[in-house]
Amino acid sequence: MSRTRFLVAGLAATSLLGAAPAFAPAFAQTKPAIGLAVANLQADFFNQIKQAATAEAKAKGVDLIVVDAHGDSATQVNQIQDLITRGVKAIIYIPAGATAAGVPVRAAQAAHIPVVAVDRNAPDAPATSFIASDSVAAAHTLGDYVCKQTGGKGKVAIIQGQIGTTPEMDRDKGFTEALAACPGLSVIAKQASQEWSQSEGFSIAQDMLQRHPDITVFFGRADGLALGAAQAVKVANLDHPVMVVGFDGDVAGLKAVQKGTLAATMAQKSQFMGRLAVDTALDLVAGKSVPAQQLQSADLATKANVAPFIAHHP
Amino acid sequence: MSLQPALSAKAIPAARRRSLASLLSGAQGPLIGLVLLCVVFALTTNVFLTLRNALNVVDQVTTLGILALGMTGVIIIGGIDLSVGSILALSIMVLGWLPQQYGVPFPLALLLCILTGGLCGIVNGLLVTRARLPAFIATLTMMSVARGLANITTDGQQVVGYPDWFTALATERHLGILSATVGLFVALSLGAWVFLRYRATGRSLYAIGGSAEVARLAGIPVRKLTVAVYAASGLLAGVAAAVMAARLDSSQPSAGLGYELDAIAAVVIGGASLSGGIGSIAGTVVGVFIIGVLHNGLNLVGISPFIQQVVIGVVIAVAVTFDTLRRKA
Amino acid sequence: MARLSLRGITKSYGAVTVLHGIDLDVRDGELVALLGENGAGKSTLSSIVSGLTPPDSGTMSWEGAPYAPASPGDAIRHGLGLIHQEMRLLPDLSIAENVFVGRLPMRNGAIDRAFMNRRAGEHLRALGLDVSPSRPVRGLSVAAQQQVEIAKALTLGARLLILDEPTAALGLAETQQLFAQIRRLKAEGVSFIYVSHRLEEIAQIADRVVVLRDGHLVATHDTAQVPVSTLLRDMVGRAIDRIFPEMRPPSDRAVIRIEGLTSAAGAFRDIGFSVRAGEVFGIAGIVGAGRTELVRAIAGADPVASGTITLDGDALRLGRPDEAIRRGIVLVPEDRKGQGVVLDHSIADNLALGNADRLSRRGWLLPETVTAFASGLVQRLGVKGRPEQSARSLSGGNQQKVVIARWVARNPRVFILDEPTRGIDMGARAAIYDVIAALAADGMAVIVVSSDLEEVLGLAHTVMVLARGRQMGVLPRDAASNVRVMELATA
Repeated sequence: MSRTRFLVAGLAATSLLGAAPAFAPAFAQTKPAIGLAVANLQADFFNQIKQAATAEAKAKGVDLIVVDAHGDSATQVNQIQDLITRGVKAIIYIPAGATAAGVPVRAAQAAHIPVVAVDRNAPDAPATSFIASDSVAAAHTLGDYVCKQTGGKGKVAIIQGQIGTTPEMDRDKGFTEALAACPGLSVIAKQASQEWSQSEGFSIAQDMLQRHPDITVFFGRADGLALGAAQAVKVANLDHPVMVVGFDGDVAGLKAVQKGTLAATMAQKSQFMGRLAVDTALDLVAGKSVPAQQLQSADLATKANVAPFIAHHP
Repeated sequence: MSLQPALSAKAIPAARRRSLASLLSGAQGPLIGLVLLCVVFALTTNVFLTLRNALNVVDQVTTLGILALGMTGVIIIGGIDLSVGSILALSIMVLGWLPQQYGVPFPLALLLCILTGGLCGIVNGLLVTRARLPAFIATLTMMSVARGLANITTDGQQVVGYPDWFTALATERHLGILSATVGLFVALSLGAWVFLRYRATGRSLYAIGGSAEVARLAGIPVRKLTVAVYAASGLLAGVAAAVMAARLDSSQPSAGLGYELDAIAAVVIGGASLSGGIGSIAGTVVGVFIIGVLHNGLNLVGISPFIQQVVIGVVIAVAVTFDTLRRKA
Repeated sequence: MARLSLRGITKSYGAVTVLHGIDLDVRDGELVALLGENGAGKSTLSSIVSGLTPPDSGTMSWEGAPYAPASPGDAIRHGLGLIHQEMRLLPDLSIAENVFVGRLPMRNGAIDRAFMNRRAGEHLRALGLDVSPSRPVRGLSVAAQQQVEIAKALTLGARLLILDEPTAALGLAETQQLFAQIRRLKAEGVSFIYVSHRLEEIAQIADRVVVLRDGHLVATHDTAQVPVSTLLRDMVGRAIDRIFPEMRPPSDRAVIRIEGLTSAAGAFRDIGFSVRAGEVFGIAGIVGAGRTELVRAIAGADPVASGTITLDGDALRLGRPDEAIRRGIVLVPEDRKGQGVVLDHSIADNLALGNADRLSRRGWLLPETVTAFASGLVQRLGVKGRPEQSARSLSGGNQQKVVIARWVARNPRVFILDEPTRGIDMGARAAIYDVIAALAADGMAVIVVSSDLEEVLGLAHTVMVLARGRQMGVLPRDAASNVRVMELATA
């Protein structure tokens, strides 16, 4: 073996051990551990849940092991396999992909590990407990608000989330129901995004305004999409006001409501759901019974009531 | 001085050395890296070094591994295939959509799933050889087209629920060890290894990557083999799609997003040169395991996802630097 | 006063000393020819003078002052220019941009193209190159590219130019043009160090000849008075009374017959000749005459517009290298590194390339078979290297032997060699000439293309001359004098 080879082998080892501080929790395996499999930490909604869950776990004296699937279901299956191997006592599962895959839930259940699903639930393999916002009701509330504010008249453009996902379908359902009772509002444009992101919202809204300069309402199915649409409206320099509403209650979304950039958003109880998920998981570990479904209402946030939401995220 | 007579294969004494060393030839460098990683994880967590976890890792790398086998061929001939992740998505949607929408018998859909991959690969090959597009561009366009077609099949919806016997291929561990999909990966790896090492056609691929013009002047059908290599890469993406469908018990059009980059990384970690002519299946398999063990180990240790991303990037850089320096030394 | 003086320059790489205490002076307006076989130390000496590598010991002075260049840039600032054997131009930039690369003239924050083009144009015209300075370098002939390199060095104020094998890729006319420019620059006081293998050129252009052998300076001559045999003896350390081997007379039977062959790309038209068993058929002509294109077409490497090739009485399918090889027509190409060998592969793999059909059984090609096959060939052709060694690590001569060996193993009918000894040192050339003689003696039809007239006349039984893609004449060796061939080639 040449000298260089030794040198580089040493380098490789050092670089790994350099990450040793990060490994530290592994040595302290006395506390019980819970796994949190997140769909995608790039999304603020999921990141809120993660932060709240981490804080709650710390307060309750348990280890929370977080894995991020970057939106890929296959990766998530691997990660849940690893959590099972590591011997976690319960798994909080925020499914990645369009609708939740049942495989991870079945794998965990086969290993007698209870699963708490958040945001989405696998239809073919439901988790022991399911925590989510009541999106249909929330979207209905938002639709009613839009109807009232516009005086029941206007042309609506909708920037959808990723087609085929549960949140997209639920939000569509609730909003459509509300608009049915408000015949003066007509939906004249509707287009799907891939990643629920602000940049997508911007370009989709810009193209929509190009085609329909008479749009008076934008509904972004997530705050990111709505913020993008608001920016497009600003750039377009229109001769009439346009109302932009979002959904989720991201920190950025709430601040935009305070500034008036967005007229309203539906603040989901993401922090609360994060805490609730940890508490539910701990109850399951302790052998207590938990409800199979825990649906949370979402609050309509407008300029009038937004301040407390920003101070303490629900 | 007479230069005749030409040698024939028969006249050559068979001095054959068969050993583990020959199996791993060209992969020693990456192997050292893999062993090092395993040592680090074995020291930091007590659940890493268990049979069950080892089997998990093998199971976890199957899809990536099958993609990387095809990528090895493509990189050896000096090409690149950015479309494998999208081809996987299109194939996996074909598998779910045809039976659901048109009642196509499942085994036939399975065949069409794999053939769809092969067809996309052939198009890649023709774009490279006939339209003379650079491989990067040809496969970049396929990456976009195949992803779009995958979404078109079901208008972006996912398909859930496969026959039990099919999902059992990925989940049932025969003799407690080998699931059918893992067995398939092992068989494909061995086949590819034998092909690249002992078949005249396999050896020709190295010549094409080393210098396409030298290979052409030596009578190698460069265009035909190039198309075949891209076709094989696509076909394997189709196979990987079937494996993933069995594993996830569902198909979705966003499947395999970014997998092409993981496959390329695995091949390069395995000692292949992106300029072509150098690479081996043994190296690629080791590279695939480096990536797999890294993800697995970091999860077991419980490292935060954001730190994981940093560690993975650093380890890939160190592994490739290590191998490059070792070759020069 | 000497422009450049070297005293006691010594350089070692590891245990190998490649230069032993070299003393050398180059005076103003003088051309010193540096001769020596590959590995004699010529490149190392050029590298030291041009600042690429420092000497271990010894001193240099430049125009009277101590000179120790820290980098090539430093050497350039002193007034020294190195023109590489392989061009270092950027093909997609314009000629003017290449001349001024790294120091583009700026005005008001933008590149001053008008000034740049004018200055580059002046220099190029002075060197006798009449092309627009704004056209890209890609597509320029090798000779023109060299003039761009020289123009670049001159705009940098070079007063000493190192030319490394400047005529390796030039035909006769271009060579004479280059010499005229060198003479003109010498008259203006520019000094030259001229590295070459071509002894006949040196007699024309050099003021003095310095010969290196194994890192020692073994002789310094006044050119006009040195017979070629003396220089050869200096270089190889032994008397060489004969470079070319005896050639046996060919048989009467034609192996390959070419009729009305016309290139699809327009490089040559209506070529017809035949080559007999045991015959060496030389093709002469200046650069651009279509020689390489012709032999590539015969070997199936390039497409053909019309014409026929018959091999042993049967027509050959044109434009297919695999078909030509199967029928026994093989080509040792001009561009050895780009088309002959795969540089990063082993000698064994390079030898197996093109022989897979013979070495494999039912498609199985075992590494042991390849190694054994390669060992045999390496020994038979005297390649200095082990089968597992990479082709890159070999000298040019040994790389050429690898390409030849690959085809020898097939025992072909027609053996074509394009510029077989370009860039190869004297000792290795003789070995390649011996191989060519042996191929002919074995009854093959051998076609040799060379810009080195001495080589064509020394080897060939018959010489065909091409000019501008047309066949100017086919001469038997007796009728093919130096003068006669040149008359036809430049007609």
